[in-house]
Amino acid sequence: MSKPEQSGALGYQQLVEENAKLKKSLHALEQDQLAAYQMQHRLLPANQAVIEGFRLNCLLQPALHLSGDFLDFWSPQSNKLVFYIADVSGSGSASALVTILLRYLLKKYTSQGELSPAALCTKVNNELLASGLEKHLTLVLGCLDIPTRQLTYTLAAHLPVPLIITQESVKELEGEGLPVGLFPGAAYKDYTCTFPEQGRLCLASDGVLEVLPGQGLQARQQKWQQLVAATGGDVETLLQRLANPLIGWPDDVTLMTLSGC
Amino acid sequence: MHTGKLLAAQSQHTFILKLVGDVRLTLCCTLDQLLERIFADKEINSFVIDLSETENLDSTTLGLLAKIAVQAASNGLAQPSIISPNQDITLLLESMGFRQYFILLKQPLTTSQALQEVPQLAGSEDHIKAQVLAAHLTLMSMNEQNKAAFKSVVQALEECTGSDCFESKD
Repeated sequence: MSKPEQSGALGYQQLVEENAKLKKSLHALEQDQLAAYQMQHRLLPANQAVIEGFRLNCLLQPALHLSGDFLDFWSPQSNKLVFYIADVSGSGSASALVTILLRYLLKKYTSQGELSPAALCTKVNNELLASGLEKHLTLVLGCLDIPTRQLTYTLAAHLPVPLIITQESVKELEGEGLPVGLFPGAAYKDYTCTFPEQGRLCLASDGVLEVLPGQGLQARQQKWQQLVAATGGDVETLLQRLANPLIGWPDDVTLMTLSGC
Repeated sequence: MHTGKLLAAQSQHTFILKLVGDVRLTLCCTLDQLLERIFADKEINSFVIDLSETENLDSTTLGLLAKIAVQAASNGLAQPSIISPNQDITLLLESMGFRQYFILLKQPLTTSQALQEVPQLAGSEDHIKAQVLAAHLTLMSMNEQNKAAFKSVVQALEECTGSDCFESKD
């Protein structure tokens, strides 16, 4: 055997060993991701849940195992229902950690009696900036007063804009606001409206805009609104219609609806 | 879509950041060091961010831009300018509330008259106006011919030592 062939053969053996090692560590990483995914998943509400006479339907389609999207809905006190959808900047593990921090903070503040979405946003904004995590998030945060059906909400730069579906129309929720965790001293505003009888509130993360056809943000938001109108906001139908095997899921996609029952 | 690039240039008192293509910041080390260096440089007193060749910005990049505005404000400098001729990008910036923190323009300012029309600057001190105008004129002078003036930010990062870049934050 000539010298180069010999070293080639050695190289091959080394490659086999390296490959086996890589496979092993990839497997360990995947197991680790999966364990974290299961943990994050357990912190989410069920795909269908009813609290205080309101029904939540939700679906999460993460781009990787772990998601930078999160949502929740719970009753911090009788006759009140708090819900949110959040999209943390970046994706994967680091963003997923922030979703868990957000869940903890919002549960804590609401259990202390703070139910103004704007005030809650301000608190989370301060906390995120102080933490130095270099992560920000967009958020739709709402609080429903069950007896009066009054919805108080705040919008923190979240896209697509939340939609209210009634038998007559599909309309965007009014309002605007800064993202959370980006600008010190950002001011948030509480908006109010009446949650329509037979109405459905439809929220999604901006991952839906990436998989919709159309050039530009405006065109894609319009497509989103049309799709919501065509499906009545049914999350399972929406996810089926959004699925495109050619592009897969380039970003986390999260869908959530809230309706009276 | 073209793979994104971050280019940086400095001319006298102006720091220019140019984002090209589909910019997704998945760099393992953040651009913190670069920003720290820029803000430590007392010579720099104005910022222009050129998005005229930007196709898309991810959330991490938007976070980086916001940081420039926040840091400039806390250093008492004028609001950074963003040149964004692409309506879609402008819409994205507006949805993130950037109009409160940046001078958002379709094209660079070239005359002091145009400067008067920028609402954020209408009540500003004269020296701030002069700085902003100078920064825009600097950007205008950076054209196809002197592209070399721009340096890839990734390259700038590579120039800092490995330990600097990957230093963990304990």
